Amino acid sequence: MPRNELSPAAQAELEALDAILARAPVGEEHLELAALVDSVRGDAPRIDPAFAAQLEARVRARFRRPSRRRAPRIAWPAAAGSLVALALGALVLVSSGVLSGTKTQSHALVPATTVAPRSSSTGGAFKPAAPSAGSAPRASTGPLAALAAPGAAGGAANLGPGSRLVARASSLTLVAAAGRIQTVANAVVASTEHAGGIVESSSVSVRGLASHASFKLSVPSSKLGGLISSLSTLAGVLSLNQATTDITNSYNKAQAKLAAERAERSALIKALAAATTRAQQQSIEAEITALDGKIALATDRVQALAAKGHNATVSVDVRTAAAGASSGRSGPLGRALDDSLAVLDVALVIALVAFAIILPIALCGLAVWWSAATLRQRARERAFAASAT
Amino acid sequence: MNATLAPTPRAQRSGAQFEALYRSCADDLYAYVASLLRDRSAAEDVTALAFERAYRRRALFDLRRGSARAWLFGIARNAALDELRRRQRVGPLVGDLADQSAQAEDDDEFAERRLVVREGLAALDPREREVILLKFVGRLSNAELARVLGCSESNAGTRLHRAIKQLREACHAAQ
Repeated sequence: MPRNELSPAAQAELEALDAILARAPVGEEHLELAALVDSVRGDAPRIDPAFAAQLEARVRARFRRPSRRRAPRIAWPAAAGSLVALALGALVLVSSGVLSGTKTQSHALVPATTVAPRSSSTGGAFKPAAPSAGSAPRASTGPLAALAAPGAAGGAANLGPGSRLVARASSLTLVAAAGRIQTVANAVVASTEHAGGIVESSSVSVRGLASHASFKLSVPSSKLGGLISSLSTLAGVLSLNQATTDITNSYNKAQAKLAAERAERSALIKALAAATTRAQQQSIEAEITALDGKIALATDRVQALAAKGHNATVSVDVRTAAAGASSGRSGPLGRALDDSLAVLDVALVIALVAFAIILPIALCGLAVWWSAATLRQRARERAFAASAT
Repeated sequence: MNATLAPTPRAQRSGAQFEALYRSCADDLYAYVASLLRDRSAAEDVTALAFERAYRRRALFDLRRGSARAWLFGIARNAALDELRRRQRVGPLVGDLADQSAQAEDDDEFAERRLVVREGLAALDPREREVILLKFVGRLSNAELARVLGCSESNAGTRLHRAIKQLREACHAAQ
Protein backbone atom coordinates (compact mmCIF):
# COMPACT_ATOMS: atom_id res chain seq x y z
CA MET A 1 0.00 0.00 0.00
CA PRO A 2 1.43 3.42 -0.88
CA ARG A 3 2.66 5.55 2.01
CA ASN A 4 -0.16 8.07 1.87
CA GLU A 5 -2.95 5.70 0.97
CA LEU A 6 -5.39 4.92 3.77
CA SER A 7 -7.07 1.60 4.35
CA PRO A 8 -10.86 1.51 3.84
CA ALA A 9 -11.34 1.36 7.61
CA ALA A 10 -9.16 4.41 8.16
CA GLN A 11 -10.94 6.20 5.35
CA ALA A 12 -14.28 5.40 6.96
CA GLU A 13 -13.06 6.66 10.31
CA LEU A 14 -11.94 9.99 8.81
CA GLU A 15 -15.31 10.35 7.10
CA ALA A 16 -17.01 9.65 10.43
CA LEU A 17 -14.76 12.26 12.03
CA ASP A 18 -15.94 14.87 9.52
CA ALA A 19 -19.54 13.88 10.31
CA ILE A 20 -18.92 14.18 14.06
CA LEU A 21 -17.41 17.65 13.61
CA ALA A 22 -20.40 18.63 11.46
CA ARG A 23 -22.68 17.30 14.25
CA ALA A 24 -24.17 14.68 11.96
CA PRO A 25 -25.18 11.25 13.30
CA VAL A 26 -22.63 8.43 13.11
CA GLY A 27 -22.73 4.70 13.66
CA GLU A 28 -22.11 3.03 17.00
CA GLU A 29 -18.65 1.94 15.94
CA HIS A 30 -17.60 5.62 15.89
CA LEU A 31 -19.03 6.65 19.24
CA GLU A 32 -15.63 6.26 20.88
CA LEU A 33 -14.20 8.69 18.32
CA ALA A 34 -17.06 11.10 18.99
CA ALA A 35 -16.27 10.94 22.70
CA LEU A 36 -12.61 11.64 21.94
CA VAL A 37 -13.56 14.67 19.87
CA ASP A 38 -15.86 15.91 22.62
CA SER A 39 -13.10 15.54 25.18
CA VAL A 40 -10.53 17.39 23.10
CA ARG A 41 -12.95 20.16 22.21
CA GLY A 42 -14.25 20.32 25.76
CA ASP A 43 -10.73 20.66 27.11
CA ALA A 44 -9.75 23.31 24.56
CA PRO A 45 -9.09 26.76 26.01
CA ARG A 46 -12.08 29.10 25.78
CA ILE A 47 -11.74 32.62 24.62
CA ASP A 48 -12.13 35.20 27.37
CA PRO A 49 -15.41 37.11 26.80
CA ALA A 50 -13.74 40.45 27.56
CA PHE A 51 -11.01 39.77 25.05
CA ALA A 52 -13.55 38.51 22.52
CA ALA A 53 -15.57 41.72 22.87
CA GLN A 54 -12.46 43.84 22.53
CA LEU A 55 -11.30 41.92 19.47
CA GLU A 56 -14.72 42.12 17.87
CA ALA A 57 -14.70 45.88 18.40
CA ARG A 58 -11.35 46.07 16.65
CA VAL A 59 -12.67 43.97 13.80
CA ARG A 60 -15.69 46.27 13.49
CA ALA A 61 -13.38 49.28 13.51
CA ARG A 62 -11.30 47.60 10.80
CA PHE A 63 -8.24 47.61 13.06
CA ARG A 64 -7.91 51.39 12.93
CA ARG A 65 -5.72 52.83 15.62
CA PRO A 66 -7.65 55.76 17.10
CA SER A 67 -4.78 57.39 18.94
CA ARG A 68 -2.38 57.54 16.06
CA ARG A 69 -2.69 60.15 13.36
CA ARG A 70 -1.79 58.39 10.21
CA ALA A 71 -0.01 60.10 7.43
CA PRO A 72 -1.95 60.31 4.20
CA ARG A 73 -1.70 57.06 2.38
CA ILE A 74 0.42 57.07 -0.72
CA ALA A 75 -0.57 54.91 -3.60
CA TRP A 76 2.89 53.38 -3.92
CA PRO A 77 2.35 51.54 -7.20
CA ALA A 78 0.98 54.68 -8.83
CA ALA A 79 3.74 56.84 -7.35
CA ALA A 80 6.44 54.40 -8.47
CA GLY A 81 4.90 54.19 -11.94
CA SER A 82 4.77 57.98 -12.22
CA LEU A 83 8.41 58.27 -11.16
CA VAL A 84 9.52 55.67 -13.69
CA ALA A 85 7.49 57.38 -16.43
CA LEU A 86 8.97 60.77 -15.53
CA ALA A 87 12.50 59.37 -15.55
CA LEU A 88 11.94 57.68 -18.90
CA GLY A 89 10.44 60.87 -20.34
CA ALA A 90 13.39 62.92 -19.13
CA LEU A 91 15.82 60.41 -20.59
CA VAL A 92 13.99 60.45 -23.91
CA LEU A 93 14.03 64.26 -24.00
CA VAL A 94 17.69 64.44 -23.11
CA SER A 95 18.61 61.69 -25.55
CA SER A 96 16.69 63.31 -28.40
CA GLY A 97 18.45 66.61 -27.79
CA VAL A 98 15.27 68.61 -27.15
CA LEU A 99 16.51 69.96 -23.83
CA SER A 100 20.13 70.40 -24.83
CA GLY A 101 19.22 72.41 -27.91
CA THR A 102 21.21 70.15 -30.22
CA LYS A 103 19.98 70.28 -33.77
CA THR A 104 20.63 67.77 -36.42
CA GLN A 105 21.24 68.66 -40.00
CA SER A 106 20.27 65.27 -41.25
CA HIS A 107 16.85 66.19 -42.54
CA ALA A 108 16.97 69.94 -42.75
CA LEU A 109 18.55 72.11 -45.31
CA VAL A 110 21.05 74.38 -43.60
CA PRO A 111 21.96 77.53 -45.51
CA ALA A 112 25.60 77.47 -46.46
CA THR A 113 27.76 80.10 -44.87
CA THR A 114 31.44 80.63 -44.95
CA VAL A 115 33.15 79.29 -41.87
CA ALA A 116 36.32 81.23 -41.35
CA PRO A 117 36.78 81.89 -37.68
CA ARG A 118 39.07 84.85 -37.90
CA SER A 119 37.89 86.22 -41.21
CA SER A 120 35.48 89.07 -41.52
CA SER A 121 34.75 88.14 -45.08
CA THR A 122 31.84 85.94 -45.97
CA GLY A 123 32.43 85.76 -49.66
CA GLY A 124 35.56 83.70 -49.92
CA ALA A 125 37.52 81.33 -47.82
CA PHE A 126 40.86 82.81 -48.53
CA LYS A 127 41.68 86.37 -47.59
CA PRO A 128 45.13 87.56 -48.59
CA ALA A 129 47.26 89.56 -46.22
CA ALA A 130 48.43 92.07 -48.79
CA PRO A 131 47.17 93.24 -52.14
CA SER A 132 50.19 91.72 -53.87
CA ALA A 133 49.19 88.30 -52.60
CA GLY A 134 45.52 88.75 -53.21
CA SER A 135 45.33 86.09 -55.85
CA ALA A 136 47.84 83.79 -54.28
CA PRO A 137 45.65 80.68 -54.40
CA ARG A 138 45.24 80.95 -58.11
CA ALA A 139 48.10 79.14 -59.71
CA SER A 140 47.70 80.77 -63.06
CA THR A 141 48.39 84.31 -61.89
CA GLY A 142 50.26 86.12 -59.18
CA PRO A 143 53.12 84.96 -56.97
CA LEU A 144 52.32 81.26 -57.19
CA ALA A 145 52.74 81.41 -60.93
CA ALA A 146 56.11 83.04 -60.39
CA LEU A 147 57.11 80.39 -57.90
CA ALA A 148 56.49 77.74 -60.49
CA ALA A 149 59.65 78.89 -62.14
CA PRO A 150 62.51 78.26 -59.70
CA GLY A 151 64.65 81.26 -59.10
CA ALA A 152 61.98 83.79 -60.05
CA ALA A 153 61.98 86.98 -58.11
CA GLY A 154 59.50 87.69 -55.34
CA GLY A 155 57.26 85.03 -53.74
CA ALA A 156 53.96 84.44 -51.99
CA ALA A 157 54.01 85.76 -48.47
CA ASN A 158 52.45 83.95 -45.49
CA LEU A 159 48.86 84.77 -44.72
CA GLY A 160 48.47 87.71 -42.44
CA PRO A 161 47.47 87.29 -38.82
CA GLY A 162 43.83 88.13 -39.57
CA SER A 163 43.47 85.91 -42.61
CA ARG A 164 42.49 82.28 -42.62
CA LEU A 165 42.54 79.64 -45.31
CA VAL A 166 39.64 77.22 -44.88
CA ALA A 167 38.95 73.99 -46.78
CA ARG A 168 35.27 73.20 -47.09
CA ALA A 169 33.53 69.95 -47.97
CA SER A 170 29.85 69.15 -48.19
CA SER A 171 27.82 66.03 -48.86
CA LEU A 172 24.23 66.12 -49.95
CA THR A 173 21.78 63.26 -50.37
CA LEU A 174 18.73 63.89 -52.50
CA VAL A 175 15.63 61.74 -52.91
CA ALA A 176 13.78 61.75 -56.18
CA ALA A 177 11.20 59.62 -57.94
CA ALA A 178 12.70 56.69 -59.87
CA GLY A 179 11.74 58.27 -63.20
CA ARG A 180 13.42 61.58 -62.32
CA ILE A 181 16.91 60.34 -61.46
CA GLN A 182 18.31 61.16 -64.89
CA THR A 183 16.65 64.60 -64.93
CA VAL A 184 18.01 65.42 -61.50
CA ALA A 185 21.48 64.18 -62.51
CA ASN A 186 21.47 66.48 -65.51
CA ALA A 187 20.34 69.36 -63.36
CA VAL A 188 23.17 68.70 -60.87
CA VAL A 189 25.72 69.01 -63.68
CA ALA A 190 24.06 72.18 -65.03
CA SER A 191 23.92 73.80 -61.59
CA THR A 192 27.58 73.00 -60.97
CA GLU A 193 28.68 74.55 -64.26
CA HIS A 194 26.46 77.55 -63.61
CA ALA A 195 28.23 78.06 -60.27
CA GLY A 196 31.61 77.98 -62.00
CA GLY A 197 32.49 74.55 -60.67
CA ILE A 198 33.46 71.30 -62.32
CA VAL A 199 32.23 67.72 -62.05
CA GLU A 200 35.29 65.77 -60.96
CA SER A 201 33.54 62.41 -61.19
CA SER A 202 30.04 61.15 -61.70
CA SER A 203 28.10 57.91 -61.81
CA VAL A 204 24.50 57.59 -62.94
CA SER A 205 22.61 54.30 -62.94
CA VAL A 206 18.98 54.12 -64.09
CA ARG A 207 17.43 50.81 -63.02
CA GLY A 208 13.92 51.47 -61.78
CA LEU A 209 13.71 51.68 -58.00
CA ALA A 210 17.42 50.83 -57.76
CA SER A 211 18.36 53.93 -59.78
CA HIS A 212 20.93 56.20 -58.26
CA ALA A 213 23.44 58.86 -59.19
CA SER A 214 26.52 60.14 -57.42
CA PHE A 215 28.76 63.11 -58.13
CA LYS A 216 31.94 64.60 -56.83
CA LEU A 217 31.93 68.32 -57.54
CA SER A 218 34.49 71.06 -57.12
CA VAL A 219 33.23 74.60 -56.89
CA PRO A 220 34.73 77.92 -55.80
CA SER A 221 34.25 78.28 -52.08
CA SER A 222 32.43 81.55 -52.56
CA LYS A 223 29.81 79.75 -54.67
CA LEU A 224 29.29 76.78 -52.35
CA GLY A 225 26.27 78.21 -50.53
CA GLY A 226 24.54 79.11 -53.77
CA LEU A 227 25.23 75.70 -55.28
CA ILE A 228 23.90 73.84 -52.24
CA SER A 229 20.76 75.96 -52.32
CA SER A 230 20.35 75.32 -56.00
CA LEU A 231 20.88 71.55 -55.66
CA SER A 232 18.43 71.38 -52.76
CA THR A 233 15.63 72.58 -54.99
CA LEU A 234 16.13 69.73 -57.45
CA ALA A 235 14.70 67.01 -55.16
CA GLY A 236 13.89 66.21 -51.54
CA VAL A 237 16.86 66.62 -49.22
CA LEU A 238 17.50 63.50 -47.20
CA SER A 239 20.67 64.70 -45.55
CA LEU A 240 23.17 67.50 -45.72
CA ASN A 241 26.54 67.48 -44.00
CA GLN A 242 29.04 70.31 -44.10
CA ALA A 243 32.59 70.26 -42.81
CA THR A 244 35.28 72.92 -42.64
CA THR A 245 39.00 72.55 -41.93
CA ASP A 246 41.32 75.43 -41.18
CA ILE A 247 44.47 74.88 -43.27
CA THR A 248 46.07 78.28 -42.63
CA ASN A 249 48.95 76.83 -40.61
CA SER A 250 49.72 74.19 -43.18
CA TYR A 251 49.67 76.80 -45.93
CA ASN A 252 51.96 79.17 -43.96
CA LYS A 253 54.44 76.38 -43.20
CA ALA A 254 54.54 75.33 -46.84
CA GLN A 255 55.06 78.95 -47.85
CA ALA A 256 57.88 79.42 -45.32
CA LYS A 257 59.59 76.25 -46.49
CA LEU A 258 59.34 77.39 -50.10
CA ALA A 259 60.74 80.83 -49.28
CA ALA A 260 63.67 79.29 -47.40
CA GLU A 261 64.52 76.97 -50.28
CA ARG A 262 64.32 79.83 -52.74
CA ALA A 263 66.63 81.95 -50.58
CA GLU A 264 69.06 79.05 -50.41
CA ARG A 265 68.93 78.77 -54.20
CA SER A 266 69.72 82.48 -54.57
CA ALA A 267 72.71 82.08 -52.28
CA LEU A 268 73.92 79.10 -54.31
CA ILE A 269 73.62 81.11 -57.56
CA LYS A 270 75.77 83.83 -56.02
CA ALA A 271 78.27 81.23 -54.89
CA LEU A 272 78.27 79.76 -58.39
CA ALA A 273 79.15 83.14 -59.84
CA ALA A 274 82.02 83.47 -57.40
CA ALA A 275 83.36 79.96 -57.99
CA THR A 276 86.92 79.89 -59.34
CA THR A 277 87.45 76.23 -60.17
CA ARG A 278 85.57 73.86 -62.35
CA ALA A 279 85.10 71.44 -59.47
CA GLN A 280 83.49 74.10 -57.31
CA GLN A 281 81.12 75.05 -60.13
CA GLN A 282 80.08 71.43 -60.67
CA SER A 283 79.43 70.92 -56.97
CA ILE A 284 77.26 74.04 -56.66
CA GLU A 285 75.35 73.21 -59.83
CA ALA A 286 74.54 69.78 -58.42
CA GLU A 287 73.25 71.36 -55.23
CA ILE A 288 71.13 73.79 -57.24
CA THR A 289 69.68 70.93 -59.27
CA ALA A 290 68.72 69.06 -56.13
CA LEU A 291 67.28 72.19 -54.63
CA ASP A 292 65.22 72.85 -57.75
CA GLY A 293 63.50 69.50 -57.22
CA LYS A 294 62.67 70.42 -53.64
CA ILE A 295 61.39 73.82 -54.71
CA ALA A 296 59.12 72.20 -57.29
CA LEU A 297 57.65 69.90 -54.65
CA ALA A 298 57.13 72.78 -52.22
CA THR A 299 55.48 74.82 -54.94
CA ASP A 300 53.09 71.98 -55.72
CA ARG A 301 52.26 71.70 -52.02
CA VAL A 302 51.53 75.42 -51.74
CA GLN A 303 49.42 75.33 -54.91
CA ALA A 304 47.46 72.31 -53.69
CA LEU A 305 46.72 73.97 -50.36
CA ALA A 306 45.72 77.19 -52.04
CA ALA A 307 43.42 75.29 -54.37
CA LYS A 308 41.94 73.47 -51.43
CA GLY A 309 41.09 76.76 -49.81
CA HIS A 310 39.78 78.23 -53.01
CA ASN A 311 37.62 75.33 -54.14
CA ALA A 312 35.13 73.43 -52.03
CA THR A 313 34.27 69.80 -52.72
CA VAL A 314 30.68 68.64 -52.84
CA SER A 315 29.56 65.01 -52.86
CA VAL A 316 26.03 64.57 -54.18
CA ASP A 317 24.11 61.32 -53.92
CA VAL A 318 20.72 61.00 -55.60
CA ARG A 319 18.50 58.07 -54.56
CA THR A 320 15.03 56.97 -55.50
CA ALA A 321 12.16 57.79 -53.17
CA ALA A 322 11.61 54.08 -52.42
CA ALA A 323 15.24 53.64 -51.34
CA GLY A 324 15.12 56.75 -49.23
CA ALA A 325 11.78 55.94 -47.62
CA SER A 326 13.36 53.54 -45.19
CA SER A 327 15.61 56.17 -43.74
CA GLY A 328 13.82 59.47 -44.19
CA ARG A 329 10.75 61.31 -45.42
CA SER A 330 10.21 64.70 -46.91
CA GLY A 331 7.50 67.10 -45.89
CA PRO A 332 6.52 68.22 -42.39
CA LEU A 333 4.30 65.21 -41.74
CA GLY A 334 7.00 62.81 -42.84
CA ARG A 335 9.59 64.56 -40.72
CA ALA A 336 7.23 64.53 -37.74
CA LEU A 337 6.75 60.82 -38.26
CA ASP A 338 10.51 60.34 -38.47
CA ASP A 339 10.99 62.31 -35.26
CA SER A 340 8.30 60.26 -33.51
CA LEU A 341 9.94 57.04 -34.65
CA ALA A 342 13.30 58.32 -33.47
CA VAL A 343 11.87 59.14 -30.03
CA LEU A 344 10.20 55.72 -29.87
CA ASP A 345 13.49 54.17 -30.91
CA VAL A 346 15.31 55.91 -28.07
CA ALA A 347 12.53 54.99 -25.64
CA LEU A 348 12.79 51.36 -26.71
CA VAL A 349 16.55 51.36 -26.20
CA ILE A 350 16.13 52.91 -22.75
CA ALA A 351 13.42 50.39 -21.89
CA LEU A 352 15.68 47.53 -23.00
CA VAL A 353 18.58 48.86 -20.95
CA ALA A 354 16.29 49.36 -17.96
CA PHE A 355 14.91 45.85 -18.42
CA ALA A 356 18.43 44.44 -18.64
CA ILE A 357 19.24 46.14 -15.34
CA ILE A 358 15.95 45.52 -13.56
CA LEU A 359 15.54 41.85 -14.52
CA PRO A 360 18.69 40.55 -12.79
CA ILE A 361 17.97 42.74 -9.77
CA ALA A 362 14.39 41.43 -9.62
CA LEU A 363 15.59 37.82 -9.98
CA CYS A 364 18.16 38.34 -7.23
CA GLY A 365 15.50 39.94 -5.05
CA LEU A 366 13.14 37.05 -5.72
CA ALA A 367 15.84 34.52 -4.83
CA VAL A 368 16.66 36.40 -1.63
CA TRP A 369 12.98 36.66 -0.71
CA TRP A 370 12.41 32.95 -1.39
CA SER A 371 15.49 31.96 0.61
CA ALA A 372 14.47 34.20 3.51
CA ALA A 373 10.92 32.80 3.48
CA THR A 374 12.21 29.23 3.41
CA LEU A 375 14.68 29.86 6.22
CA ARG A 376 12.03 31.63 8.29
CA GLN A 377 9.62 28.73 7.87
CA ARG A 378 12.31 26.22 8.84
CA ALA A 379 13.11 28.30 11.92
CA ARG A 380 9.40 28.28 12.81
CA GLU A 381 9.21 24.54 12.46
CA ARG A 382 12.34 24.10 14.58
CA ALA A 383 10.88 26.37 17.24
CA PHE A 384 7.66 24.36 17.12
CA ALA A 385 9.48 21.06 17.48
CA ALA A 386 11.54 22.48 20.32
CA SER A 387 8.43 23.75 22.12
CA ALA A 388 7.59 20.21 23.18
CA THR A 389 10.66 19.95 25.34
CA MET B 1 -15.00 63.06 1.16
CA ASN B 2 -12.75 60.81 3.14
CA ALA B 3 -12.82 57.30 1.71
CA THR B 4 -12.40 55.79 5.16
CA LEU B 5 -15.52 57.54 6.41
CA ALA B 6 -17.62 56.53 3.48
CA PRO B 7 -16.43 53.13 2.37
CA THR B 8 -17.19 51.97 -1.10
CA PRO B 9 -19.72 49.15 -1.58
CA ARG B 10 -16.83 46.82 -2.38
CA ALA B 11 -15.02 47.77 0.82
CA GLN B 12 -18.27 47.35 2.76
CA ARG B 13 -18.80 43.92 1.27
CA SER B 14 -15.21 42.96 2.03
CA GLY B 15 -15.57 44.21 5.63
CA ALA B 16 -18.81 42.31 6.12
CA GLN B 17 -17.22 39.13 4.79
CA PHE B 18 -14.32 39.57 7.15
CA GLU B 19 -16.66 40.05 10.12
CA ALA B 20 -18.44 36.83 9.16
CA LEU B 21 -15.10 35.05 8.98
CA TYR B 22 -14.19 36.42 12.39
CA ARG B 23 -17.42 35.20 13.97
CA SER B 24 -17.11 31.72 12.51
CA CYS B 25 -13.45 31.25 13.43
CA ALA B 26 -12.59 33.36 16.48
CA ASP B 27 -13.31 30.72 19.16
CA ASP B 28 -11.69 27.85 17.29
CA LEU B 29 -8.70 29.94 16.26
CA TYR B 30 -8.10 31.10 19.81
CA ALA B 31 -8.40 27.55 21.11
CA TYR B 32 -5.90 26.29 18.55
CA VAL B 33 -3.39 29.10 19.21
CA ALA B 34 -3.74 28.81 22.98
CA SER B 35 -3.19 25.06 22.77
CA LEU B 36 -0.05 25.61 20.73
CA LEU B 37 1.36 28.34 22.95
CA ARG B 38 -0.02 27.14 26.29
CA ASP B 39 -0.13 30.77 27.36
CA ARG B 40 -3.42 32.68 27.49
CA SER B 41 -1.97 36.16 27.21
CA ALA B 42 0.30 35.28 24.30
CA ALA B 43 -2.59 33.44 22.67
CA GLU B 44 -4.74 36.57 22.83
CA ASP B 45 -1.98 38.66 21.28
CA VAL B 46 -1.36 36.13 18.53
CA THR B 47 -5.07 35.71 17.82
CA ALA B 48 -5.55 39.47 17.50
CA LEU B 49 -2.41 39.72 15.39
CA ALA B 50 -3.61 36.93 13.09
CA PHE B 51 -6.97 38.62 12.51
CA GLU B 52 -5.31 41.97 11.90
CA ARG B 53 -2.81 40.46 9.47
CA ALA B 54 -5.59 38.65 7.67
CA TYR B 55 -7.57 41.88 7.41
CA ARG B 56 -4.62 43.84 6.05
CA ARG B 57 -3.74 41.10 3.57
CA ARG B 58 -7.30 40.26 2.58
CA ALA B 59 -6.63 41.53 -0.94
CA LEU B 60 -4.04 38.75 -1.35
CA PHE B 61 -6.47 35.99 -0.44
CA ASP B 62 -7.12 33.67 -3.36
CA LEU B 63 -10.12 31.38 -3.02
CA ARG B 64 -8.66 29.04 -5.64
CA ARG B 65 -5.83 28.19 -3.24
CA GLY B 66 -8.09 27.18 -0.37
CA SER B 67 -10.82 28.39 1.93
CA ALA B 68 -10.66 31.57 3.98
CA ARG B 69 -10.70 29.47 7.14
CA ALA B 70 -7.58 27.54 6.07
CA TRP B 71 -5.90 30.80 5.06
CA LEU B 72 -6.67 32.34 8.44
CA PHE B 73 -5.42 29.29 10.35
CA GLY B 74 -2.24 29.38 8.26
CA ILE B 75 -1.63 32.99 9.25
CA ALA B 76 -2.33 32.18 12.89
CA ARG B 77 -0.02 29.18 12.80
CA ASN B 78 2.87 31.28 11.42
CA ALA B 79 2.21 33.98 14.03
CA ALA B 80 2.13 31.38 16.80
CA LEU B 81 5.35 29.75 15.62
CA ASP B 82 6.96 33.21 15.44
CA GLU B 83 5.89 33.68 19.05
CA LEU B 84 7.47 30.35 19.94
CA ARG B 85 10.69 31.45 18.21
CA ARG B 86 10.65 34.74 20.09
CA ARG B 87 10.06 32.86 23.31
CA GLN B 88 13.07 30.66 22.56
CA ARG B 89 15.22 33.76 22.28
CA VAL B 90 13.96 35.58 25.35
CA GLY B 91 13.36 32.53 27.52
CA PRO B 92 10.26 30.48 28.16
CA LEU B 93 7.22 31.94 29.84
CA VAL B 94 5.44 30.12 32.60
CA GLY B 95 2.27 28.75 31.13
CA ASP B 96 -0.90 30.15 32.64
CA LEU B 97 -3.41 28.18 30.67
CA ALA B 98 -5.77 27.61 33.51
CA ASP B 99 -8.76 25.54 32.57
CA GLN B 100 -11.65 27.91 32.13
CA SER B 101 -13.85 25.39 30.42
CA ALA B 102 -17.13 24.56 31.93
CA GLN B 103 -15.66 22.37 34.63
CA ALA B 104 -18.50 23.00 36.97
CA GLU B 105 -20.95 21.64 34.49
CA ASP B 106 -18.99 18.47 33.94
CA ASP B 107 -19.84 15.28 35.68
CA ASP B 108 -17.06 13.28 37.23
CA GLU B 109 -16.86 10.78 34.42
CA PHE B 110 -16.52 13.44 31.73
CA ALA B 111 -13.99 15.39 33.83
CA GLU B 112 -11.93 12.24 34.25
CA ARG B 113 -12.06 11.50 30.53
CA ARG B 114 -10.99 15.04 29.72
CA LEU B 115 -8.05 14.69 32.07
CA VAL B 116 -6.97 11.48 30.37
CA VAL B 117 -7.30 13.05 26.93
CA ARG B 118 -5.35 16.10 28.10
CA GLU B 119 -2.52 13.85 29.28
CA GLY B 120 -2.70 11.86 26.09
CA LEU B 121 -2.45 15.03 24.02
CA ALA B 122 0.48 16.28 26.06
CA ALA B 123 2.29 13.01 25.43
CA LEU B 124 2.00 13.37 21.66
CA ASP B 125 4.66 14.67 19.36
CA PRO B 126 3.99 18.40 18.75
CA ARG B 127 3.27 17.81 15.07
CA GLU B 128 0.75 15.07 15.82
CA ARG B 129 -0.84 17.20 18.53
CA GLU B 130 -1.12 20.08 16.09
CA VAL B 131 -2.89 17.90 13.53
CA ILE B 132 -5.38 16.84 16.21
CA LEU B 133 -5.94 20.44 17.26
CA LEU B 134 -6.40 21.69 13.73
CA LYS B 135 -8.91 18.95 13.01
CA PHE B 136 -10.78 18.62 16.29
CA VAL B 137 -10.65 22.23 17.46
CA GLY B 138 -10.16 24.09 14.20
CA ARG B 139 -12.66 21.81 12.40
CA LEU B 140 -10.70 22.01 9.19
CA SER B 141 -11.40 19.66 6.32
CA ASN B 142 -8.53 17.48 5.14
CA ALA B 143 -7.96 19.84 2.20
CA GLU B 144 -7.78 22.80 4.57
CA LEU B 145 -5.50 20.82 6.86
CA ALA B 146 -3.20 20.17 3.92
CA ARG B 147 -3.15 23.87 3.06
CA VAL B 148 -2.19 24.90 6.60
CA LEU B 149 0.45 22.19 7.01
CA GLY B 150 1.84 22.61 3.50
CA CYS B 151 1.36 19.03 2.39
CA SER B 152 -0.88 17.05 0.07
CA GLU B 153 -4.46 16.18 1.04
CA SER B 154 -3.74 12.45 1.14
CA ASN B 155 -0.68 13.09 3.28
CA ALA B 156 -2.78 15.21 5.62
CA GLY B 157 -5.30 12.37 5.92
CA THR B 158 -2.56 9.88 6.68
CA ARG B 159 -1.01 12.15 9.28
CA LEU B 160 -4.40 12.74 10.87
CA HIS B 161 -5.21 9.06 11.07
CA ARG B 162 -1.81 8.31 12.55
CA ALA B 163 -2.23 11.12 15.10
CA ILE B 164 -5.66 9.79 16.17
CA LYS B 165 -4.17 6.35 16.60
CA GLN B 166 -1.31 7.78 18.69
CA LEU B 167 -3.79 9.76 20.79
CA ARG B 168 -5.84 6.66 21.49
CA GLU B 169 -2.74 4.78 22.53
CA ALA B 170 -1.60 7.69 24.72
CA CYS B 171 -5.02 7.85 26.35
CA HIS B 172 -4.99 4.11 27.05
CA ALA B 173 -1.55 4.48 28.55
CA ALA B 174 -2.72 7.37 30.72
CA GLN B 175 -5.71 5.47 32.13
